[in-house]
Amino acid sequence: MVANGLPLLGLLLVLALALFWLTRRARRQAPSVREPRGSRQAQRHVFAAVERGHGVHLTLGRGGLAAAANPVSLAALAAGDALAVPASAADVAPLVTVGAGTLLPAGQDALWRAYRRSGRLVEYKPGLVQFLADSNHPEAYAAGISYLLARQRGGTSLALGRFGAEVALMTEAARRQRIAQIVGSDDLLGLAAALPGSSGVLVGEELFAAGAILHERPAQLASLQLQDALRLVAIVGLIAAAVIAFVLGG
Amino acid sequence: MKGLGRALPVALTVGVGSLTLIGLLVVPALGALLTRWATFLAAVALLLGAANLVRVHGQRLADGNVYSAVLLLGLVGMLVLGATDAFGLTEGWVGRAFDLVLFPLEAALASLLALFLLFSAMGLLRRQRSGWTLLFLFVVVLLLLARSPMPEAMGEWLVLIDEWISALLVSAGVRAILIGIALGTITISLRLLMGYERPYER
Repeated sequence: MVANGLPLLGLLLVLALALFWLTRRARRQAPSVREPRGSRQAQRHVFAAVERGHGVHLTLGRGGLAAAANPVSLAALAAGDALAVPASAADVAPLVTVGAGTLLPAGQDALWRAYRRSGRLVEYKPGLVQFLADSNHPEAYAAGISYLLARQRGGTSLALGRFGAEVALMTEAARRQRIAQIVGSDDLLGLAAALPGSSGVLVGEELFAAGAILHERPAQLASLQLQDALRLVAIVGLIAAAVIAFVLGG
Repeated sequence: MKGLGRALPVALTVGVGSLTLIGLLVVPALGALLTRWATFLAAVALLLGAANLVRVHGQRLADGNVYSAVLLLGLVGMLVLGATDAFGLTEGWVGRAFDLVLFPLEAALASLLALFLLFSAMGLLRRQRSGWTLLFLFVVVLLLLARSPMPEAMGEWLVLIDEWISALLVSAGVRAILIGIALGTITISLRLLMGYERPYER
């Protein structure tokens, strides 16, 4: 039994109660929340690809669900879930790729749901979701995606999840095929490598907010409100700590 | 029955998730046990991934794709080497195959990254000629110069600028992004633990 964990558990309980209260309020009236630019930009690119009859490729990164990257992979799944619906209604079948074994069934479920929502479940095939490489081999994963992108002309590629510097190989492959690529990651090196070559970047918390913005479900919007409130607390706390340290000469 | 089918995965997720959290924070032994189970499930999922790979590339091979033939041959070859290693017929051949084939290929790809980044940066200048793009490229060139051998008088100034940018601007940006990620992690975890987020639901 570890006593040190109890205050943290208490804090999480308080946050859970706050989320419960915000969700109840959001069910009565949809709250107005900030909208980071990247999510809608990704949605516009998917719609544009569908309208032009081009393909949409979604890759969910190489952070597995049973690893430390679980939250970012869940955030990528939430965003991918929303973006796969218009993609599944297109003439060209979307392609989902994963770089971790645990993401394979999750990705298949997300695409299955998307096909069901767009009323084209008979066209769904499990083979539309492909496992490329194990998470320990990022270059092999990026090479696999580059190969698939080289066979696609135009359209949109969404890379949402955990990516490292290998994302530069993917953005270069997308650029050569004139594919608009949006990258969302929580990895700082991956974000830095994606910035110059991609059409748009979802930086850290933008990726976590993307699912909420695109789905617009009350609980998700409420969690976005909670996230903003916590951010405000963090900012005030940081400024207060800096002022105290300055005054005390520490 | 349909209601039970919907409620059971939610109850399982909320129950096991809460137990793992309590275990990790208060009873480490319980947390470690549940995390070990998750690792076992991840290993099973990797087998699913391998099966998916065989299925997809089997179809491509039927369409006459040579690369898929190479991949499937590689897969079978590694399985055979793994079996001969396991039965003691050979020793460390799987590791040797990785060292001789996969790692050099990955190293070659990784070495291309710098080149691709340079091309991307030049492409960015062509695509978006905004003030931010110019600032980005200016800082990149400045930091590259600061880390290159330069005449002493000029080098000292560049090192000072490099240190100032890295210690102040870069650290502040990195911390801001990490705080945002941490807050996103907390809220998505809460959504999952409270049954609001259901990626498993069909």
